[in-house]
Amino acid sequence: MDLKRGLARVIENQSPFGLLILVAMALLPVISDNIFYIEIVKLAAIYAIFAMSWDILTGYTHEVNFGVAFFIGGAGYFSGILNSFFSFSPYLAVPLAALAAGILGIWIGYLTLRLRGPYFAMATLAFASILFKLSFIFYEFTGGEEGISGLEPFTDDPMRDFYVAWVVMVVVYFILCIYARSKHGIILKAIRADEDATQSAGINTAYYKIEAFAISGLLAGIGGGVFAHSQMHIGPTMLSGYLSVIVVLLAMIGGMGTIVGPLVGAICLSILNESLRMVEEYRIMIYTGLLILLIYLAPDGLINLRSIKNSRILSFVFLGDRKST
Amino acid sequence: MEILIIGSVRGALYSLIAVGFVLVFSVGGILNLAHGTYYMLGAYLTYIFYSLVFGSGGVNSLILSAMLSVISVGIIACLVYNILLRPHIQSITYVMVMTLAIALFVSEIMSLLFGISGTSVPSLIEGSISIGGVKVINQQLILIPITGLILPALWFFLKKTKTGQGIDAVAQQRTGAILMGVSVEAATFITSGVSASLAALAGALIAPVSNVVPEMWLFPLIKAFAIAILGGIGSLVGSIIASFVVGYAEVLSSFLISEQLTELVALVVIVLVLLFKPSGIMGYKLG
Repeated sequence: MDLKRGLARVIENQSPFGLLILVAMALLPVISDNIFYIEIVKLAAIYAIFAMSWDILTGYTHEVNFGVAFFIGGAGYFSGILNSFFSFSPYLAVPLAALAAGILGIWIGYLTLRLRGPYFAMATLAFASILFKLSFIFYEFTGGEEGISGLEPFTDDPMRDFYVAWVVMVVVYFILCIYARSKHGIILKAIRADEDATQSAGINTAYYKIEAFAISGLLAGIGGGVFAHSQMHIGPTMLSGYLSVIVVLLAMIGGMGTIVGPLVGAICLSILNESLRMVEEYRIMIYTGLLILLIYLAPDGLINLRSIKNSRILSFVFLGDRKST
Repeated sequence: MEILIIGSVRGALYSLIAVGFVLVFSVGGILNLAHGTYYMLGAYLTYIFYSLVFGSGGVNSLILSAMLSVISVGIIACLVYNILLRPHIQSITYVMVMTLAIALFVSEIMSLLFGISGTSVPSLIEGSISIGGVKVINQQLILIPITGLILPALWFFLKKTKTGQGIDAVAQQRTGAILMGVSVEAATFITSGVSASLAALAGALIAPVSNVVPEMWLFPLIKAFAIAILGGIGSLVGSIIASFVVGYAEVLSSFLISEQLTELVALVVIVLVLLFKPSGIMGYKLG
């Protein structure tokens, strides 16, 4: 009975649009067995994991984390090393690596989350750059510029690999939705509104921020591990500032602080990015240019546009809000 | 001796970059993550003007192209501020994400135009001299007198001219400055231009002795930030002292431990300062 009520609470207030996208992605391999499209959607799913896990800290507290690549690449490398040097199975290596990322998240969060605003942002960027540099210095383990190749994939079949990524994405999505609706998520929102006031209400804001940071690191680490094993390769690009910024942009354009926003934003924009491969030479330039334009036009994200928030039907479809008025 | 000279050269270079970064942060509240990009653009535009526009003339055309690149970077920075940043200047998140996105965009354009392997620019003055048995490239040495001229000039501009006093006032007390009739927007506008020009000058001067590559924006940015927090955000004197501290520390670590670790020094400085003395050497307590 409890289980049933719990399930009902999860489904309740879900964004129908978000659910629709999740289902549509799962149905894609049924419609088309073109391996190229499946790879694209798998990549989109992994980017969605990154963007959603970034959102739980930054979207809810507005402490900008520019170091997602720290967790993504760190966990990717860790799981890659476990797999290729100690021949751990990916099913064991990825959770271990993600756990390590989560614990590191607690430590770094403890160090840096006393800082606010720009200081925190730059400190996370610095941590990610340290790891990026270290990956070149310890090239015996990390392979330097080339990274580690030949990682063991989850399954032999790309189709099933896709479903692994999809399942992870769905699980991450629901975990984050539940977390965001729990007491913890509400406290994070309160911190966003006014940290001092929240503190004076007797809430240990640092604890909740560190918790959110660690969860964000853990989930991004899972995403990084899945990425490494499904590509069978991990390289320094997974640690670079470029990846961090792209994840931040995807989540911001989708709409921060909604979980479904980053999901939608990451999936749509990554698919767009891949379709730009027709003009490969200019791809990244067009893509980043487009992202700048989007963020300029809709700084709060597409899903938080005023026209969506003000309309009852649209806000139900996209955000899952049932307005009482 | 070697450490002293090379450290001073680095310190001079970093102070040119960091002063602008600190200035624009204290005046506009803008954490300008595109600051390293302005440094990079200074180097690239010098190259563009010199070899593509003037077709590799003599030293005069090199000086001219360096000056043109400094001015055009200043203009670019003003445009970026006015068009892209000003509409949402209150949101720190927006400003940071936007400037970082610009940095990526520009570095992508540059790698598209000139390739990732990089280009180089001929030296302003050739050759090298030896001081106390240490061989120093002239082009690097020239950084010290130029910084020695620029920084007092900046100080004079901020303290003695009307515009500069306005900028200084905004940095010290924003509300008070508004009440005194200082236009905050104009002050921020000018500061963006000036700080970007300083970074571009550093880039143009260092272009001949370093490889001009599209990734050269990231580490100056991180160093500028390290210096800014070491010196205490909002303190120009602090940032100049901190530039030299970081410069010497880097050279020392590369002599004592390993060449590879120099890039890490700035990062370690950030972490240590944030942990033990978040207000920096000359700064106020953080809010």
